[in-house]
Amino acid sequence: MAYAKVADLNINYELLGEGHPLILIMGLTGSLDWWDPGFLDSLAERFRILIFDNRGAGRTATPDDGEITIGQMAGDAAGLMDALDIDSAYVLGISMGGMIAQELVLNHPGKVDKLVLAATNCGASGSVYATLDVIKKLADRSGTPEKQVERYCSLLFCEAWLESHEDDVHEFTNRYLAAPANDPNAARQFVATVKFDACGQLPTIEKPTLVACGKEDVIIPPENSKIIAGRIPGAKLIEYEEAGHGFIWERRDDFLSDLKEFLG
Amino acid sequence: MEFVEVGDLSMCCELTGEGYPIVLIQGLTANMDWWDPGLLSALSERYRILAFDNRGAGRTVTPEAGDWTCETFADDTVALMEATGIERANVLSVSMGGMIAQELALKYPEKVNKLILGSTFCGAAHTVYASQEVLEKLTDTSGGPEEVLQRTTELMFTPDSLKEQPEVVEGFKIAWMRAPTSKHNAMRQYMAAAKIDTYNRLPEINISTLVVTGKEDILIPPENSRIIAERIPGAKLIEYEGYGHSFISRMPEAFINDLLEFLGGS
Repeated sequence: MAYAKVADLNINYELLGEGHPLILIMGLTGSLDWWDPGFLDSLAERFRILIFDNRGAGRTATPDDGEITIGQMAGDAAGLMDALDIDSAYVLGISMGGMIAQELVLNHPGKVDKLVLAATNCGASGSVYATLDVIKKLADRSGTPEKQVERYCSLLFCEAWLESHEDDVHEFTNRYLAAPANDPNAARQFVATVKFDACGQLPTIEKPTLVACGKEDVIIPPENSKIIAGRIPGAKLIEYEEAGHGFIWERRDDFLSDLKEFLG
Repeated sequence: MEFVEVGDLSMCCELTGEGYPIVLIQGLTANMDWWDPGLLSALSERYRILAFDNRGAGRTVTPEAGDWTCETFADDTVALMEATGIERANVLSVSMGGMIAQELALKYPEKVNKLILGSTFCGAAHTVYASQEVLEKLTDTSGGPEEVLQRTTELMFTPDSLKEQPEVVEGFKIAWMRAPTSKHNAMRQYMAAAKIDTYNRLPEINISTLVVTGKEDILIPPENSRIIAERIPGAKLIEYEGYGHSFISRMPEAFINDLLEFLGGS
């Protein structure tokens, strides 16, 4: 665990492996603990992986005041790259992390070599939203930690996987609980995702892009990945069957092989 | 909540209320959210409260390398007081926080107006330890945060309150979750607590002191508070029936009343 001062933050990050830099950007309220250790180990054999806690998440020290925006978080990621002397990198963002990755490539195209957008949308003007029930459940932060994770897992993973992967769910639960975001920061991040809108700018992205999603994603419906892939010139789309918003956990090995093929 | 650069730390702290300062020092692996909101609200009407996350706990940014003693934490606390413009304060402490407060009162007597030592011990040869079973549970690092939380809750609360006050237990779990402490830091804090030894020096404390404990504390048995109260000249001891190690977060009205009476507007 290491820290870097970036803007008004003290960002908690970790560097793993050797090779071309690959930056992994986590989603709403997630800390770097959420990344699957097997996923990281496999990528670290080939790449220099940078994982970190976004503004308001995990152990990154974040001021209480003010609004959080996706553009600001993209600036944080760029600032962290500068602080660590990473000129450019492959960038993979999941969910809210995918929104940050879009702003990063739009605002700092020189920093991104290849782009991977997982389980994300391109924002307000061109997205298909979750049902109201799902959004309510996602925003519900009541109850004990165990109840909160259980509720979240019921949205993140599809039912069949939840039932057949008790041990994986338990491990994910523990990684979730390692450094959970507090309620005000979760709310600030959520507002950032709602205000995000990059739809109109996507056609200007000139980087090789892979868009991926789980076909049973209820948090960010898979239609959004089709929309993104249709708007970024030359983007490749992969949809995973029998997987939800958490397809990178549910279909880890399949996604790893597709990801490595794309990154080369 | 704000972050203040103190030595090798970026300390997460919060200043609330108006009046004479009172510094709150938390225990092993605790973050400042563990303080009972009712206690904070009662104190904030009369005092300026400084609450914070200790070295290695909660959100305080702490280097991964290095070992600590309770004196290290006392130094941090004084440095944080200085950084936040507090020259002298009442000090309210619990558990490992009480060990830190003892070192603080011994090393920096000019910084402490009145001292409250809650649920704590003075160390080494003069400690009445928890049972083997309890110590094993405390130092059990198996499993993840979910298991740690379960074990912590069982140590903090009496079986009765686990059954009868689910809302208090739930509140504790939610506070715990706001900033859990890593295993590595938990062990480093535990080692600092295990090394405390102030017994011989306690008679040097020339500060008005209140010692409080829950009579059913299995983590730091109440005998320890009796020992401390005997060693500190003029110290007052209060034991609360029916409360365990978590007695401050279970917030007996009686404790707030006793505390405010002891502080007496100072």
